[in-house]
Amino acid sequence: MNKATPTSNVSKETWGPYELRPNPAAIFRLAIGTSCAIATALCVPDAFAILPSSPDFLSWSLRLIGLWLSAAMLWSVSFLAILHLLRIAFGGIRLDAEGIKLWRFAKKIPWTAIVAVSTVERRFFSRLFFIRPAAMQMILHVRRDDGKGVASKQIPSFQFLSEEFTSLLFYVSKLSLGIKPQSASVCIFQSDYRHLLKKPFEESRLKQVAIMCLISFSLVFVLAKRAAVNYTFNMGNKEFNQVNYGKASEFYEMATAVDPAFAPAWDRLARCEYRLGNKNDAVKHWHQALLMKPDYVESKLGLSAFYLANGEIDKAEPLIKQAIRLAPKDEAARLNLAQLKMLRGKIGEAVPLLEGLAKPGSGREQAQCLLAQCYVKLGNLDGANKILEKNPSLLTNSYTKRLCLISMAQLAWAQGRKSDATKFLVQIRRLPGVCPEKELTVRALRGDNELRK
Amino acid sequence: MSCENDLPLANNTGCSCRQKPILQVVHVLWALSKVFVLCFALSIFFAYAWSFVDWLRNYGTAPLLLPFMAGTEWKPVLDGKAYGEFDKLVDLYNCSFPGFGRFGSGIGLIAGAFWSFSFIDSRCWIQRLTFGISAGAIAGSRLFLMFSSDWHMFLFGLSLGALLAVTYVMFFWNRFFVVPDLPLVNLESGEAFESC
Repeated sequence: MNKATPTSNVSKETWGPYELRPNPAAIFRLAIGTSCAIATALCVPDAFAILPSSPDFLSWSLRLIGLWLSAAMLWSVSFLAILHLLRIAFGGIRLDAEGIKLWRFAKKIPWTAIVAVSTVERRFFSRLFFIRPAAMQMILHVRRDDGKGVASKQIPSFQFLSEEFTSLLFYVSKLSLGIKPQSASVCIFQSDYRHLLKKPFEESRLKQVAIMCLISFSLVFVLAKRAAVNYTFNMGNKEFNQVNYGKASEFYEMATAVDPAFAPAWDRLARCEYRLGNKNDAVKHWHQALLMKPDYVESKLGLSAFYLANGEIDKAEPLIKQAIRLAPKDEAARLNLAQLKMLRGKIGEAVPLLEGLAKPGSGREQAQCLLAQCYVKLGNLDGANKILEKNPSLLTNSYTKRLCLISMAQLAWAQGRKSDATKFLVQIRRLPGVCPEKELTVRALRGDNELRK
Repeated sequence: MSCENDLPLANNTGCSCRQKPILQVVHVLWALSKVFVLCFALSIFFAYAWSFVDWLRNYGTAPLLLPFMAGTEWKPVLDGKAYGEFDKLVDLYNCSFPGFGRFGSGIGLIAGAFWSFSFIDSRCWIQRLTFGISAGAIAGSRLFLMFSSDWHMFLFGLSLGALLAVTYVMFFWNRFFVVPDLPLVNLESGEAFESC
């Protein structure tokens, strides 16, 4: 920033040009100030939306703090980026001996066309966005080219530091009207144009009211939309966890109808449809989720599980690889990778993956069942027996029951207990519903001619 | 690290590194260190911040997953195919920032790359070039990683980002700073205005 350097030998005709660019510190202050207000406003609907999924007050309050922090961080960073891009694109205010240009591609306003200069303090705006000292707006009243009336041009102060804005006011007042303002709050005008100033002032006020109405309406609309989406999504999750897939899918459909770009709702809807046996819609909606969010790991895994169950290994493989690369520690992704390797016949590579997942207490019953199957295929019947005997919960868990039964059938077959194996297989085929594990294991057994008979 | 002015302004004599090649090396290293330190610091900060925020958002349902937790515990083995060094770099990045930390680190990297532009000494062409290539490559590659972890996309984003940023800083940057800043004035004394 240049400091004032009086050079009395320079005449007014050769003054400038100078440029006042938006100040990065002022922009940063604005981004931080607005983030507090915006994050608070965004969290109001979320406070209601997370009610169905919060078991107690502590969880609810901590989740709300997390939501507020994430909204504040995202807003401040993205708003800062947008303001800087605008700063680069539009440049600053240029002043020279002839006139003023309010932005890079604007038409120059000659000093002689400015008939009044005034400033207005924006107290509400400043309080709302924590701007200190209070933000101001400079209004230049410019005589129209046709000579009929006066137009007003606004220059907000929040993009500049306080001293920069007052300097601008000083130069504009002095160069256009020949008056040195003594404070930042001024209203200077040429007496000939006094009668013409009333209309632009009223127009300016009406414009502000209209803008405030538009912002309020947009804010209410956006917040209401968010609240509706989050609430229905969380209600869907609640039903999903209680295995009410039909009801859950209704909630997810509502969420996707309100916000078609909300990828998690598409993904959950697809999962419900898959569990209800509506495979075509499930695949369509998984693809829809990936269209909305190309790096959404859950949808990649859901879709890959469907392809694995259908034996379409070539379609499943790239999805699993992408998911693994996006989330290397994701247990579901590693489980799918292990399944893929098993189907490819690479049992040796699948075993270490499954051993990592099937640690005691990990809650990964699927991994334990698959590990038992791998041990059977490798001839380690004792290892498989240990897993299946030590985990009686595998049979009580509805989700792993099929997989456990098929592992037991394979073990029984390998141990020469053919009648037991057939008994297990009959039990599996009697189980209702569709699930990838059932199809996967039945498909695996199809290779066994004797068992198939 | 001040340079003399090579802008189309009065007193434009060019950067001193034009006469001393060794200074050009120093300027390149200086610019690179600025970009990488800024990007790395912001990336780590945002990754930890985002991991913590995500843990709060999902309190009670998901464990705290901090950056670098995976370490060397598990590395993806993808059928032993050779995907090239860029592929390994993408894997290393994804392994280092699990869960939402990956998103946070992405914000940090892009923010750091953009922020580093404010440290450019616009009078020195070699600094502008270095800043443009390094910051543009970082921002571009990370933006493309938001869509895919494929190394072809990563490389494409890296090249495109570097190209756009270099074009901007080499051909357009100085056009925006040709006109000097408006001199500041004290309203009460009106000191600077006597120059009119």
